[in-house]
Amino acid sequence: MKCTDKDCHCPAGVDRSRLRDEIMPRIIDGQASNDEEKYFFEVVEKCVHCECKEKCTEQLAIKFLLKNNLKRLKVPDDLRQSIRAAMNSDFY
Amino acid sequence: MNKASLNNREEATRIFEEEMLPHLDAMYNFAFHITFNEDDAKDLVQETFLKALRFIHSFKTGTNAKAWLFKILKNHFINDFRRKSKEPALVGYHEVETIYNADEAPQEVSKSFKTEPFNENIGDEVTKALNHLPVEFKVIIILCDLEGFTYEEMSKILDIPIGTVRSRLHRARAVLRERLIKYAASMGYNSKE
Repeated sequence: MKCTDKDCHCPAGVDRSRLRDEIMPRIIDGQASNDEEKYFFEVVEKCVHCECKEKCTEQLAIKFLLKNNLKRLKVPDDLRQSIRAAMNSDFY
Repeated sequence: MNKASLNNREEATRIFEEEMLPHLDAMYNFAFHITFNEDDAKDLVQETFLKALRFIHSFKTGTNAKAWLFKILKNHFINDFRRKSKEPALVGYHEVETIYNADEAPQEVSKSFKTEPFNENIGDEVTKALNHLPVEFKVIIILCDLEGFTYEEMSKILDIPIGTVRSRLHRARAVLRERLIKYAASMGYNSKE
């Protein structure tokens, strides 16, 4: 859907569903191409109606929380040892 | 043991040592998050590595060993382990759909989403939020946000189309966001600041 607000300066012909459903998740997950990143940030900076910036910030915050605050366990020594023992056996 | 099989074995051991074992911690964490139990996680990882050892000759060197291992673990979990294990009470899929479709949370979202005020105590709360997700959602969040797999890799690991990977991620994040925003508010965080 193209933005029709006369005060909006977003690039003409913005495909909002593509921006929201395809490009934004790739931005969040670091899988967007340079062109997609450029396009995304150009739109979100210029479009006064675009909610993507807000949603993107929020989803990045959730991702950050998960990545940095989830407890990371170290594999128990006995498990490591039993796997090594299997490697050194005639198991395979 | 003849020379050829000895070389094969040495090569297999080298591949296992260099390409598989470095992922042991990641595998254990993944297993722990989907089983909720250290002993079950150990069993799952042990079985996964034994299968990997058994089929090491079918692994193509230079391909993604971590994704290969995660796929074995996921298959083992679904085909063997989950069937035998008692499942803990989880949020039903319909509940998740309701939360997602209600789209309540976005109204309260702030542009100034701050993490600092509650970062120190949030580890447990984040774990709880993750553990409340249905296992399919939890798996996709761990693979993506913790282990950093691409959509394509997750699609191969989980045997689902990329579109399903993306929609599952989106829904899982909507639920997580709902839970964590509430927690943030309970910790005195004002989303309208």
